[in-house]
Amino acid sequence: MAERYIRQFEFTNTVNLPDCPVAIEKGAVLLDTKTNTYFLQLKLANIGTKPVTSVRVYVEAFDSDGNPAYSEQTPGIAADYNGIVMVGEAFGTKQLIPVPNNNAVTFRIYIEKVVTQNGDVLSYLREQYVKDNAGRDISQERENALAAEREAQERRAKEYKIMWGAKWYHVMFVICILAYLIWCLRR
Amino acid sequence: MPSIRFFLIYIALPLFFIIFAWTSVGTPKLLKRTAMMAILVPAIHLLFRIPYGSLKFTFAFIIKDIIVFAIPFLCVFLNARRFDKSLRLSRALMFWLPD
Repeated sequence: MAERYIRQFEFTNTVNLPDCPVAIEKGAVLLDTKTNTYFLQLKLANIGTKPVTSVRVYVEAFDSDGNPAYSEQTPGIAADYNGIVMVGEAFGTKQLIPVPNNNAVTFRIYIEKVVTQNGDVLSYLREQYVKDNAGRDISQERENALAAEREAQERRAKEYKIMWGAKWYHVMFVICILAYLIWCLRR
Repeated sequence: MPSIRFFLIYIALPLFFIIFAWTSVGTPKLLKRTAMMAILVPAIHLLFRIPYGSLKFTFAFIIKDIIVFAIPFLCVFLNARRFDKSLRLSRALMFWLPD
Protein backbone atom coordinates (compact mmCIF):
# COMPACT_ATOMS: atom_id res chain seq x y z
CA MET A 1 0.00 0.00 0.00
CA ALA A 2 2.86 2.32 0.82
CA GLU A 3 4.21 2.03 -2.71
CA ARG A 4 0.93 2.34 -4.52
CA TYR A 5 -0.55 5.22 -2.51
CA ILE A 6 1.25 8.51 -1.99
CA ARG A 7 0.14 10.69 0.88
CA GLN A 8 -0.65 14.15 -0.48
CA PHE A 9 -1.34 15.87 2.82
CA GLU A 10 -2.84 15.30 6.23
CA PHE A 11 -5.67 17.23 7.80
CA THR A 12 -7.70 17.43 10.97
CA ASN A 13 -11.42 17.84 11.33
CA THR A 14 -12.69 21.41 11.58
CA VAL A 15 -15.95 20.57 13.33
CA ASN A 16 -16.39 19.09 16.75
CA LEU A 17 -19.04 17.31 18.78
CA PRO A 18 -17.76 16.40 22.26
CA ASP A 19 -20.79 14.17 23.05
CA CYS A 20 -20.11 11.81 20.16
CA PRO A 21 -18.34 8.56 21.18
CA VAL A 22 -16.49 8.40 17.85
CA ALA A 23 -14.17 11.15 16.65
CA ILE A 24 -11.86 11.77 13.72
CA GLU A 25 -8.28 11.54 14.92
CA LYS A 26 -6.85 12.66 11.60
CA GLY A 27 -7.30 12.26 7.89
CA ALA A 28 -5.20 12.19 4.76
CA VAL A 29 -5.63 12.55 1.04
CA LEU A 30 -3.90 9.76 -0.87
CA LEU A 31 -3.02 9.49 -4.54
CA ASP A 32 -3.39 6.08 -6.11
CA THR A 33 -0.46 5.95 -8.50
CA LYS A 34 -1.90 3.00 -10.37
CA THR A 35 -5.21 4.61 -11.36
CA ASN A 36 -4.22 8.26 -10.77
CA THR A 37 -7.24 8.81 -8.54
CA TYR A 38 -7.54 10.32 -5.09
CA PHE A 39 -8.81 8.81 -1.89
CA LEU A 40 -9.61 10.05 1.56
CA GLN A 41 -8.22 8.04 4.43
CA LEU A 42 -9.77 8.71 7.82
CA LYS A 43 -8.51 7.56 11.17
CA LEU A 44 -11.45 7.33 13.52
CA ALA A 45 -11.29 6.60 17.22
CA ASN A 46 -13.76 5.05 19.62
CA ILE A 47 -13.46 7.37 22.62
CA GLY A 48 -16.77 6.35 24.19
CA THR A 49 -17.51 3.76 26.83
CA LYS A 50 -18.98 0.98 24.66
CA PRO A 51 -17.73 -0.98 21.65
CA VAL A 52 -19.24 0.19 18.37
CA THR A 53 -20.26 -1.93 15.39
CA SER A 54 -21.12 0.62 12.73
CA VAL A 55 -20.34 4.27 12.06
CA ARG A 56 -21.62 6.52 9.30
CA VAL A 57 -19.56 9.58 8.43
CA TYR A 58 -20.40 12.47 6.20
CA VAL A 59 -17.57 14.46 4.64
CA GLU A 60 -17.79 18.00 3.37
CA ALA A 61 -14.67 19.32 1.67
CA PHE A 62 -13.86 22.89 0.70
CA ASP A 63 -11.23 24.39 -1.54
CA SER A 64 -9.03 27.39 -0.73
CA ASP A 65 -11.84 29.79 -1.71
CA GLY A 66 -14.30 28.11 0.66
CA ASN A 67 -16.34 26.53 -2.13
CA PRO A 68 -17.29 22.84 -2.11
CA ALA A 69 -14.30 20.97 -3.46
CA TYR A 70 -16.14 17.95 -4.78
CA SER A 71 -18.81 19.65 -6.87
CA GLU A 72 -19.94 16.35 -8.37
CA GLN A 73 -20.77 15.07 -4.93
CA THR A 74 -22.31 18.16 -3.40
CA PRO A 75 -23.21 18.54 -0.65
CA GLY A 76 -20.87 15.79 0.61
CA ILE A 77 -19.74 12.20 0.69
CA ALA A 78 -21.17 9.57 3.01
CA ALA A 79 -19.25 6.49 4.08
CA ASP A 80 -20.03 3.59 6.37
CA TYR A 81 -17.56 1.81 8.59
CA ASN A 82 -18.71 -1.60 9.76
CA GLY A 83 -17.02 -3.92 12.20
CA ILE A 84 -16.58 -4.21 15.93
CA VAL A 85 -14.33 -1.56 17.40
CA MET A 86 -13.48 -1.83 21.06
CA VAL A 87 -13.22 1.15 23.38
CA GLY A 88 -10.00 3.10 22.84
CA GLU A 89 -9.25 1.54 19.44
CA ALA A 90 -8.60 3.43 16.21
CA PHE A 91 -10.17 2.26 12.97
CA GLY A 92 -11.02 3.24 9.43
CA THR A 93 -7.54 3.59 7.95
CA LYS A 94 -7.96 0.50 5.79
CA GLN A 95 -11.11 1.85 4.16
CA LEU A 96 -10.41 4.43 1.49
CA ILE A 97 -13.10 6.83 0.28
CA PRO A 98 -12.77 7.76 -3.40
CA VAL A 99 -12.83 11.50 -4.11
CA PRO A 100 -12.84 13.18 -7.55
CA ASN A 101 -9.88 15.57 -7.14
CA ASN A 102 -7.22 16.98 -4.87
CA ASN A 103 -8.67 20.49 -4.58
CA ALA A 104 -9.88 20.20 -0.99
CA VAL A 105 -8.06 22.15 1.67
CA THR A 106 -10.36 21.97 4.67
CA PHE A 107 -12.68 19.21 5.75
CA ARG A 108 -15.76 19.04 7.90
CA ILE A 109 -16.35 15.47 8.87
CA TYR A 110 -19.56 14.66 10.70
CA ILE A 111 -20.25 11.42 12.50
CA GLU A 112 -23.91 11.00 11.66
CA LYS A 113 -24.72 7.64 13.15
CA VAL A 114 -23.05 5.29 15.61
CA VAL A 115 -24.36 1.82 16.43
CA THR A 116 -23.03 0.37 19.66
CA GLN A 117 -22.48 -3.33 20.29
CA ASN A 118 -25.58 -3.56 22.47
CA GLY A 119 -27.73 -2.25 19.60
CA ASP A 120 -28.13 1.38 20.61
CA VAL A 121 -28.30 3.70 17.60
CA LEU A 122 -26.94 7.16 18.28
CA SER A 123 -27.76 9.79 15.67
CA TYR A 124 -26.22 13.23 15.47
CA LEU A 125 -27.41 16.14 13.38
CA ARG A 126 -24.88 18.22 11.51
CA GLU A 127 -26.37 21.29 13.19
CA GLN A 128 -25.22 19.96 16.57
CA TYR A 129 -21.58 20.27 15.56
CA VAL A 130 -19.57 23.30 16.51
CA LYS A 131 -16.77 24.70 14.38
CA ASP A 132 -13.19 24.92 15.57
CA ASN A 133 -11.71 21.68 16.71
CA ALA A 134 -8.57 23.35 18.05
CA GLY A 135 -7.30 22.15 21.38
CA ARG A 136 -8.91 18.73 21.14
CA ASP A 137 -6.35 15.94 21.25
CA ILE A 138 -8.26 12.89 20.01
CA SER A 139 -5.31 10.51 20.37
CA GLN A 140 -5.00 11.52 24.02
CA GLU A 141 -8.75 11.07 24.49
CA ARG A 142 -8.46 7.63 22.90
CA GLU A 143 -5.67 6.68 25.28
CA ASN A 144 -7.75 7.95 28.21
CA ALA A 145 -10.74 5.90 27.02
CA LEU A 146 -8.51 2.84 26.70
CA ALA A 147 -7.10 3.34 30.20
CA ALA A 148 -10.61 3.82 31.62
CA GLU A 149 -11.80 0.67 29.85
CA ARG A 150 -8.85 -1.35 31.20
CA GLU A 151 -9.62 -0.08 34.69
CA ALA A 152 -13.31 -0.99 34.28
CA GLN A 153 -12.33 -4.46 33.03
CA GLU A 154 -10.10 -5.01 36.04
CA ARG A 155 -12.90 -3.89 38.35
CA ARG A 156 -15.37 -6.22 36.61
CA ALA A 157 -12.92 -9.13 36.89
CA LYS A 158 -12.52 -8.49 40.62
CA GLU A 159 -16.28 -8.29 41.09
CA TYR A 160 -16.74 -11.53 39.15
CA LYS A 161 -14.20 -13.24 41.36
CA ILE A 162 -15.90 -12.06 44.53
CA MET A 163 -19.35 -12.90 43.12
CA TRP A 164 -18.70 -16.46 42.02
CA GLY A 165 -15.31 -17.47 43.36
CA ALA A 166 -15.11 -16.14 46.90
CA LYS A 167 -12.90 -18.27 49.15
CA TRP A 168 -15.50 -18.40 51.88
CA TYR A 169 -17.74 -20.46 49.57
CA HIS A 170 -15.43 -23.40 50.19
CA VAL A 171 -15.73 -22.94 53.96
CA MET A 172 -19.50 -22.74 53.56
CA PHE A 173 -19.65 -26.03 51.65
CA VAL A 174 -17.42 -27.79 54.18
CA ILE A 175 -19.62 -26.56 57.04
CA CYS A 176 -22.73 -27.59 55.09
CA ILE A 177 -21.43 -31.14 54.57
CA LEU A 178 -20.28 -31.52 58.17
CA ALA A 179 -23.48 -30.07 59.62
CA TYR A 180 -25.63 -32.32 57.45
CA LEU A 181 -23.64 -35.47 58.20
CA ILE A 182 -23.59 -34.81 61.95
CA TRP A 183 -27.33 -34.08 61.96
CA CYS A 184 -28.13 -37.13 59.84
CA LEU A 185 -25.92 -39.69 61.54
CA ARG A 186 -26.86 -38.62 65.07
CA ARG A 187 -30.45 -39.64 64.45
CA MET B 1 -25.50 -49.59 60.73
CA PRO B 2 -27.46 -47.59 58.18
CA SER B 3 -29.12 -49.50 55.38
CA ILE B 4 -28.16 -49.05 51.73
CA ARG B 5 -31.37 -47.16 51.04
CA PHE B 6 -30.71 -44.82 53.93
CA PHE B 7 -27.16 -44.32 52.71
CA LEU B 8 -28.24 -43.58 49.12
CA ILE B 9 -31.10 -41.20 49.91
CA TYR B 10 -29.84 -39.42 52.99
CA ILE B 11 -26.05 -39.49 52.54
CA ALA B 12 -24.99 -40.08 48.93
CA LEU B 13 -27.66 -37.99 47.22
CA PRO B 14 -27.23 -34.83 49.34
CA LEU B 15 -23.44 -35.18 49.20
CA PHE B 16 -23.59 -35.54 45.43
CA PHE B 17 -25.58 -32.30 45.12
CA ILE B 18 -23.33 -30.42 47.54
CA ILE B 19 -20.15 -31.52 45.74
CA PHE B 20 -21.76 -30.89 42.35
CA ALA B 21 -22.42 -27.30 43.44
CA TRP B 22 -19.02 -27.00 45.11
CA THR B 23 -17.19 -27.89 41.88
CA SER B 24 -18.73 -24.86 40.17
CA VAL B 25 -17.27 -22.31 42.56
CA GLY B 26 -15.78 -19.59 40.36
CA THR B 27 -18.47 -19.72 37.69
CA PRO B 28 -22.08 -18.42 37.55
CA LYS B 29 -23.23 -22.08 37.44
CA LEU B 30 -22.82 -22.00 41.21
CA LEU B 31 -26.11 -20.16 41.71
CA LYS B 32 -27.98 -22.60 39.48
CA ARG B 33 -26.50 -25.65 41.16
CA THR B 34 -27.08 -24.42 44.71
CA ALA B 35 -30.70 -23.65 43.70
CA MET B 36 -30.94 -27.19 42.33
CA MET B 37 -29.63 -28.53 45.63
CA ALA B 38 -32.00 -26.34 47.69
CA ILE B 39 -35.03 -27.60 45.80
CA LEU B 40 -34.28 -31.17 44.74
CA VAL B 41 -32.82 -32.60 47.96
CA PRO B 42 -35.78 -31.66 50.22
CA ALA B 43 -38.19 -32.66 47.42
CA ILE B 44 -36.63 -36.13 47.02
CA HIS B 45 -36.51 -36.60 50.79
CA LEU B 46 -40.16 -35.60 51.01
CA LEU B 47 -41.09 -38.16 48.36
CA PHE B 48 -39.41 -40.93 50.32
CA ARG B 49 -40.70 -39.81 53.70
CA ILE B 50 -44.40 -39.32 52.92
CA PRO B 51 -45.28 -43.03 52.75
CA TYR B 52 -43.45 -43.73 56.01
CA GLY B 53 -43.23 -42.00 59.37
CA SER B 54 -45.62 -39.59 60.98
CA LEU B 55 -46.67 -36.38 59.27
CA LYS B 56 -45.31 -34.25 62.12
CA PHE B 57 -41.92 -35.95 61.98
CA THR B 58 -41.81 -35.68 58.18
CA PHE B 59 -42.66 -31.99 58.37
CA ALA B 60 -39.91 -31.31 60.93
CA PHE B 61 -37.41 -33.28 58.85
CA ILE B 62 -38.23 -31.40 55.67
CA ILE B 63 -38.02 -28.02 57.39
CA LYS B 64 -34.54 -28.90 58.67
CA ASP B 65 -33.64 -30.14 55.19
CA ILE B 66 -34.79 -26.90 53.60
CA ILE B 67 -32.82 -24.83 56.12
CA VAL B 68 -29.61 -26.82 55.64
CA PHE B 69 -29.73 -26.86 51.83
CA ALA B 70 -31.13 -23.37 51.35
CA ILE B 71 -28.35 -21.69 53.36
CA PRO B 72 -25.63 -22.19 50.66
CA PHE B 73 -28.05 -21.00 47.98
CA LEU B 74 -29.03 -17.91 49.97
CA CYS B 75 -25.39 -17.09 50.75
CA VAL B 76 -24.44 -17.31 47.08
CA PHE B 77 -27.53 -15.41 45.98
CA LEU B 78 -27.11 -12.56 48.47
CA ASN B 79 -23.40 -12.26 47.72
CA ALA B 80 -24.02 -12.17 43.95
CA ARG B 81 -26.85 -9.68 44.38
CA ARG B 82 -24.48 -7.20 46.00
CA PHE B 83 -22.93 -6.72 42.56
CA ASP B 84 -25.86 -7.51 40.27
CA LYS B 85 -29.04 -5.87 41.47
CA SER B 86 -31.01 -7.35 38.58
CA LEU B 87 -30.90 -10.83 40.16
CA ARG B 88 -34.28 -11.96 41.47
CA LEU B 89 -34.79 -14.70 44.06
CA SER B 90 -37.69 -16.32 42.23
CA ARG B 91 -35.76 -16.36 38.93
CA ALA B 92 -32.61 -17.64 40.63
CA LEU B 93 -34.55 -20.58 42.09
CA MET B 94 -35.75 -21.64 38.63
CA PHE B 95 -32.62 -23.63 37.88
CA TRP B 96 -34.24 -25.43 34.96
CA LEU B 97 -34.61 -22.25 32.91
CA PRO B 98 -31.80 -21.32 30.49
CA ASP B 99 -29.59 -18.31 31.33
